[in-house]
Amino acid sequence: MKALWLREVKEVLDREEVRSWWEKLDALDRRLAEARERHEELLAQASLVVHRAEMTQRKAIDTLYSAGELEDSAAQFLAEVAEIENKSYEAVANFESQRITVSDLYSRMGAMEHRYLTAKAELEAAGTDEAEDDERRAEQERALKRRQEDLSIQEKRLEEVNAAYQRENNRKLRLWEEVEQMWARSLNINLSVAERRAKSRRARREAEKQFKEAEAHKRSAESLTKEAAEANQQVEELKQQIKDHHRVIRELCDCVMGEEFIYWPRRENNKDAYCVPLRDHPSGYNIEIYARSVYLINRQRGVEFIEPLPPEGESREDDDRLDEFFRRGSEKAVGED
Amino acid sequence: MNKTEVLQASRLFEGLIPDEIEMLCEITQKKAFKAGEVVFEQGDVGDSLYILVDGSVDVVRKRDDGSEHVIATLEAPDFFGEMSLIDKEYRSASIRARADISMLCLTNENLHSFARVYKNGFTLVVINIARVLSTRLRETNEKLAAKM
Repeated sequence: MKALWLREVKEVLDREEVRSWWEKLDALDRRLAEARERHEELLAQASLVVHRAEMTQRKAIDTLYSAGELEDSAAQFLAEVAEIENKSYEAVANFESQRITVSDLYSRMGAMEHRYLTAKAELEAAGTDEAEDDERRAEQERALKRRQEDLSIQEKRLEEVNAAYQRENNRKLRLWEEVEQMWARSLNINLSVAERRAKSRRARREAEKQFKEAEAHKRSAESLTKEAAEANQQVEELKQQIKDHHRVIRELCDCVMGEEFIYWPRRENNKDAYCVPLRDHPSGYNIEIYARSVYLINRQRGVEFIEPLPPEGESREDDDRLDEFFRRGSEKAVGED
Repeated sequence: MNKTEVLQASRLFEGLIPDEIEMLCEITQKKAFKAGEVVFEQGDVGDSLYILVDGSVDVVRKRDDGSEHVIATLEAPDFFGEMSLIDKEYRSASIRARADISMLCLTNENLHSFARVYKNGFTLVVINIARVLSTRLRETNEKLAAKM
């Protein structure tokens, strides 16, 4: 490799085969960028689908668990219903027994009332005859008093039986109320059992559907991962192609080949070198640099400090702008004609 | 952004010929900041000058107690950071974008490249910086005199 004049560097860059080389590099770069983008997109999609599969599987497990819980609670309810129904049979028996007691009391109370009312009527009808002698009249009065006392006793007993009847009848009504409450609760729970069983069946079906979905996501993730691996393979192949392509320019241009630049020693000044970026770099270096443009660097510093090419053509020895500035005074600014 | 138009419109490059402007186009870099972002902080070591292309910035100085005080607002096509090109000292104030801004950045080292190629052009740039500094100094003096 020999040092070149700037003119020679430009001639090399203008050669048809060099132009074609750059066109091919551009095409490879574009394909690499597309392949990378596709690889990243596929990887992102694969991770998303894997995540979705995991989420769906977890959801399916939760749904299945809730179906089991519903079934358990339905069974529990069913046991409770059986217990309530057993208790209700007992309560009905108690009620029947109480009903008989109350009927009995009612009969007794009717008979006593009848006796009392008959005795009361008889007492009101009976009077003292106009007895001829005092002894007989006294006898009549004593008999009347006994009957009155007897009526009073009957009245008291009737009141007691009546009170007992009221008490036992109220108990009978309470027992019936208990029976009805048990039946209502039993009905309520029975209905809940049916509902829970239906819900459980629905949850099981839902869980099965979710498991299937999770499996489909897993299959899709596997397929995407495979595609991503293929895309990555393509990226690696393109990188290798670009690497191989880089070697070609070294032979074509007889230059030093870097990773991002090609270089020639500068014939005009052996401390410097010409460099040409392979690609555009609007940032990342001290100036904005563009592919196939020639720049100047110091051999020691390399591309740490890149300079544009110095101007070509005539020197500006006739440049009198400074003279003008000093002649007119500093406040008469530069730029005036 | 057309760099040539921006540079030609700036007071900093008044009097420069097209070849010089063309080289300046090559050695300046585009920079963009979002509203509220700090371009540089007071006390940073400075090595670049910035020419505002679009938007405006606040020049903010910190007081001893840590509070901030906006001492000026600059708008395109103003420039800032020129003092560090002259004295290479720490930044005397912070610069914060008021809205989204775009700028051209000229580093000390790149200006040196320019100076080696265009000596007269470089001298004119320095004169233009001096004129701006001189104007700012006069304004400060007038403000001080008014307060006394």
